[in-house]
Amino acid sequence: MSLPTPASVSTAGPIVGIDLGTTNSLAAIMGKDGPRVLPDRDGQALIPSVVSFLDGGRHIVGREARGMAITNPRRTVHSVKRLMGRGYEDVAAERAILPYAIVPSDQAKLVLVDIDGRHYTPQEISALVLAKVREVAERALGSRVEKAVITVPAYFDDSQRQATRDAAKIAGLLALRIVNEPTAAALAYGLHTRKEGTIVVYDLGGGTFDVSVLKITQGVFKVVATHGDTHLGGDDFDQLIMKRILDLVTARTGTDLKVHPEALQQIRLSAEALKCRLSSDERATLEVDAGGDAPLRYELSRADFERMIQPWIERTLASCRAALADAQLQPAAIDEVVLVGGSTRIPLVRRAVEELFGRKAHAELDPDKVVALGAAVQADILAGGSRDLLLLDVIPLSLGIETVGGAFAKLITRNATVPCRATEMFSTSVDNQTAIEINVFQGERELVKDCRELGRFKLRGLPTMPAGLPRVEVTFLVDADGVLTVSAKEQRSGVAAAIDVVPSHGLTRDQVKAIVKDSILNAQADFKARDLVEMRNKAHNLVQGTRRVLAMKEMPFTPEQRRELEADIARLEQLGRSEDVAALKKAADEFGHKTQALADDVIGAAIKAELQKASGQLPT
Amino acid sequence: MTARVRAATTACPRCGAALQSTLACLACGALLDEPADATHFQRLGLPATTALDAAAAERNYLRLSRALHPDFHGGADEAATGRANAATAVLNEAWSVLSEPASRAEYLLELLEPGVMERSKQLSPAFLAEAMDLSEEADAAARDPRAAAGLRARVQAEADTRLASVLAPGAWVEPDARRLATTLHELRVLRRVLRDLGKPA
Repeated sequence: MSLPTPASVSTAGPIVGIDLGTTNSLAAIMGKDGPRVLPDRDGQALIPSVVSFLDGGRHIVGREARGMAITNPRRTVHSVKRLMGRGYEDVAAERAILPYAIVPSDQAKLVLVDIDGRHYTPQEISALVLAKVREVAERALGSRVEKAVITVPAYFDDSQRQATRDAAKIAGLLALRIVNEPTAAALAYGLHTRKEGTIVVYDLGGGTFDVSVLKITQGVFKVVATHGDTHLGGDDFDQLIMKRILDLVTARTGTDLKVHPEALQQIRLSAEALKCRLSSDERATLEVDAGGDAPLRYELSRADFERMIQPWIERTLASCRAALADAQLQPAAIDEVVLVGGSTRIPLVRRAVEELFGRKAHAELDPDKVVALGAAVQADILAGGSRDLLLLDVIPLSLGIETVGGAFAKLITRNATVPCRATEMFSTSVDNQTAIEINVFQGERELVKDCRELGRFKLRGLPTMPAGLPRVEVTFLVDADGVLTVSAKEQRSGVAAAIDVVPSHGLTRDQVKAIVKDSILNAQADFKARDLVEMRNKAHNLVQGTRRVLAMKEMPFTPEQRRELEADIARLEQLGRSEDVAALKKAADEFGHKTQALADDVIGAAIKAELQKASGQLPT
Repeated sequence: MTARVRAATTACPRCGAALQSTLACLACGALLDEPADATHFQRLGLPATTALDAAAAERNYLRLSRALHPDFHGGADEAATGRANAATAVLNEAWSVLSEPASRAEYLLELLEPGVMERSKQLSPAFLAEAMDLSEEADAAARDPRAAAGLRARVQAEADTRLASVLAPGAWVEPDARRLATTLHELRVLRRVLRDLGKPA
């Protein structure tokens, strides 16, 4: 069968895959030999999802920010993914743990991060992380990056997905597609090259756990079931170890370190390091400075650690069984098991999963990078590079509306393939009523109070009619990213209703616009970084063009002219490796003019055209 | 960029190939404007019958998914992405209705006689009494796995008999719509009992 011609993306430029993680974020891109991660100058691909605010309105992101967690705990924001698209009451557990201030917003049930009295939405903080990822990607690629495929946990609801999209928008990125992390992982392993098969992806990261059952049929990749817990991950294991250490300190010295945010941060990092060591060592120790004469020693064996985390691992296995039940499959029917997320490095996790499914699990790729690699595969599909596979995701939670008495009427059932839609008829209850309000929820319970409120949709501009006469057909469309849009039409008049969306735990379109406008990302520094990338590209093109001309034997250059040009090229290349935008621009401009003059003087029209082609990319 | 063209005929208005679906031309990939009365069978390019070749039906669904899915229509163009999302949502709805035999039979029946399912909701007192007994047995069996397994097998057999009678091609030659609808309602009830039995105690 002949496939439709791929629709071209209207503007050129690379599409990167981004894993926006709770603990770390990173970007990857499809290359000739498959997807590869995009490292920073030091060769590091993982960027800690941490933002630290400094004096004078400055902020730093990534590794340096992570280092600030100890000295600047109340202004260093980590794990912000746990706050994305959530309400103040949803994040009680986080509030107790996170060292920075979290406050409710005035109108909506949004959470805000309070840094010295200035409030940031989780979307803005995530945008700062995304901007850093983008900067690293741009440096690695040597070109602007404006489009991305961004991954989210399969279990993310509409609000959380929308918040992720908004964060991208604030960071100046177009999120072409939101892809579920487990699906991306399966793509990274190239499991879509199987003709037929059933795959389980077990993803235990820093903050979230999910499991997905995927089915491959003729190159079409379909998520048939997904299950998980947005509050289960390696951070919980760190907390368990932390608690042990704090209890030890209290028992030995009588000091309660919980009231010292700096000490808490230090212990949190130490606990995490201890946990990581136990993945390769049978026992590990750490020393805590509790203010006494000598530091306290805390030793933990792998066996002890495994006993501590056993209940958590058991919960993940229960999720796996639930996903299998939803997919109507027995563990033996699974052909491949893929492990994702740093916490799958824990030997117990691997053992438990392999035992449940009775087979060896894939762990060949770095579990911290596999999701970004898969996002790059999907980015390549969107760029029109590959059409031999198609991803069909499902909606993770049922979606419906509030009816009489607070009952929840499901319109779209959990695990339905997206995009999907439902239509529902509404009417008015009083004469000449021109507006209807619909409350939309997501969840599996019978009453809306037990489900998650997504938002209120206000239909306006209905034609005036007696009560009950209007027939308003409302269409709920969940797109390929799992994000809901609502449209409505009055059937008798054919009038489309205007719709105002009031998200319960998110930002309205106007709010996003306003944030984009006053974004701290619009700061001078960011523009400088961008300018540098652009300038480097221009210098590179200029050098390449001149080299091409120099390589032509028939060029009537004198040996001095050649030497001079080669010296200029060397200088330009050296400046290209520096951070000095101004010097680079000046050198490139001068070089452009010089080659232009040379062309005018000694070279014929044809060569002039060749040079112009190269220098034409330089602004005059 | 794929054009959106009217499917007024059985040939693709863009490339002239014979159309197999009202949603898209599989030959050139054009998204089509559907006729208002398009059925799920027409969307998936399948004959309107309960006796479907499941493998062929799935093949059509996957081919159409590739033609319609927003991943292949859009990139930066929001309008094209929106059209592809809407068309794929319709395709997915058609597939979810037709891929399951009982819901396919209900859909076909409604095409033949609109409203018949709603009008046939009243089930016989004998069946209702039996269903009530089954529900009570199911509650009692919740604590007894062996009894639950036996009950499950019995209810499954009852359900299977009804599904087979509805799917039989003979049932659709001069069909008795009311009777078919009644059988389908009974099947729904039996499946609810099965679902409750499936739940762990």
